[in-house]
Amino acid sequence: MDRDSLHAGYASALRAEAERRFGAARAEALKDNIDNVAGWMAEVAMFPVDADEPPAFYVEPAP
Amino acid sequence: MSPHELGLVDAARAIRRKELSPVDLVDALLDRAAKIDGPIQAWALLDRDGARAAARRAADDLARGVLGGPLHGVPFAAKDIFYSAGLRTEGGSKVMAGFVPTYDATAVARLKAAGGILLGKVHTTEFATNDPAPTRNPWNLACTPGGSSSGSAAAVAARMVPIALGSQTIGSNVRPASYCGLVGLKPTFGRISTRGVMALSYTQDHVGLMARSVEDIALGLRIVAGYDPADPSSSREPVPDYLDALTRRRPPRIGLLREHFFERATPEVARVTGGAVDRLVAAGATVEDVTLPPSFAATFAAAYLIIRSDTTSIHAERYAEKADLYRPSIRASIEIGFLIPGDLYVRALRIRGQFRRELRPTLARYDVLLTPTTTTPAPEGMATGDPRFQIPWSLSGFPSITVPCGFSASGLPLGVQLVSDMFTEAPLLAAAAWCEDVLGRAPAPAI
Repeated sequence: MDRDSLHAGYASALRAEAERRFGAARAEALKDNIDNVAGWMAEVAMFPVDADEPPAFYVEPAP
Repeated sequence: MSPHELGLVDAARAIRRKELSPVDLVDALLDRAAKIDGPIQAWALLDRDGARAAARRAADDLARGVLGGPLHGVPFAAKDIFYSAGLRTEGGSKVMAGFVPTYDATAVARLKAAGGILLGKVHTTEFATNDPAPTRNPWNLACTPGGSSSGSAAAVAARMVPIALGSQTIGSNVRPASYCGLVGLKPTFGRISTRGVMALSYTQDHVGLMARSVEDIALGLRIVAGYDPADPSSSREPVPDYLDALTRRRPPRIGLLREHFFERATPEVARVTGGAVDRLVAAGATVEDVTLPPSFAATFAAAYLIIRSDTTSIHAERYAEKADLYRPSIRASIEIGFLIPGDLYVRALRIRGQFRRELRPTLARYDVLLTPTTTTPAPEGMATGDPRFQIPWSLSGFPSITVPCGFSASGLPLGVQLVSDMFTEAPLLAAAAWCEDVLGRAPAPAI
């Protein structure tokens, strides 16, 4: 799936979930935020993270 | 020179030598605030009585030969997300109206333990996010001072206090410092305790410092840095003598980040930054263009997914009770965070790790990487400006500092941002001090 399609799919899913959680009026108010977040989600989903890369939380000094 | 013009190191030295009384210094700064803060609105709360009482105690101690520490009798300010025992701390939010902490944030406590006097609390955007503070930029009241550490930047730039605590989760310390002609440091993640600081993100909240010189930042960092068992993100890395590090300044090896940064700055910002780089080269710095690793492209999206998710987790209970008291931007951020899938949150954390790992070989080849600090000078209006040039370092935790480098045609200050490897604040400050020597400090704004 290309990035634009993924973005649109995420936006649609987020909108549906926002309506379910907050109601239609609030979901409409969140429209721009939903579009931004859907874009970030697509960006993160499509980035080729190394398979053995663990999640990084805090910073430890270099060994 | 009037006492309000003294920087942190100079004020501390003058008090130590008994050339300046802490009482006179506190009075001078309170007078200054009374005269000029009306249109600037840096202060959320001035603790006039508490500061004067602390100054009298400091003066009495000094008369008896007792020196409380390296900041004996010198005032500082704290962003209003830092807990301050007995002083209202509202985080710029109606949600926290009337909240009075029972203890000091660790950074506040350490400055006090070093002899510093908390002059008051300075305005923040709501919970250090986007809903703006009332504060205006002392260089031009039509412009934002930046945010979220809006009051910290304005108060230090307007010579109402020599140093202020700020914070940065996205771009909230370095950017406003630059917009106001200051030196601003975001240290390595975990270098300064975040205990007692209203949280926004578990893994991107940094305590920062703003002052008018690198030397003042070095003294402040030496005092507030270090392990805090009450903060799980706090590092045990030893704290070097940052002031001593400044004696080892020399022309640095600079990696220049043209792609992404110069390309996304306005032509004027790129030109002023390029001119500053030319002056650094002429003074002896070595400069080479640097290519960013592939993971850089995903840092912006990863940072925002992490922050939104963290902010929701931190605010969920308050939101359930007081959603209507939140202003629009942070309310939307909290609501959006409920919707972000867990797998993408974890993937964003993995991108952070990959970016750290991929950038470190580049950082090892240079003393610092250099970028323009901001895309533009401080914009007009209330919105606090574009944080994109700070985001990679807030996500990754690499330390960054801004030093003034010139002015826009409209007379607003601009800065260069320097970045280095984890826990290399000592050489970072030495490089920043060398750049400051070459580029000069920003003068005081005409108020």
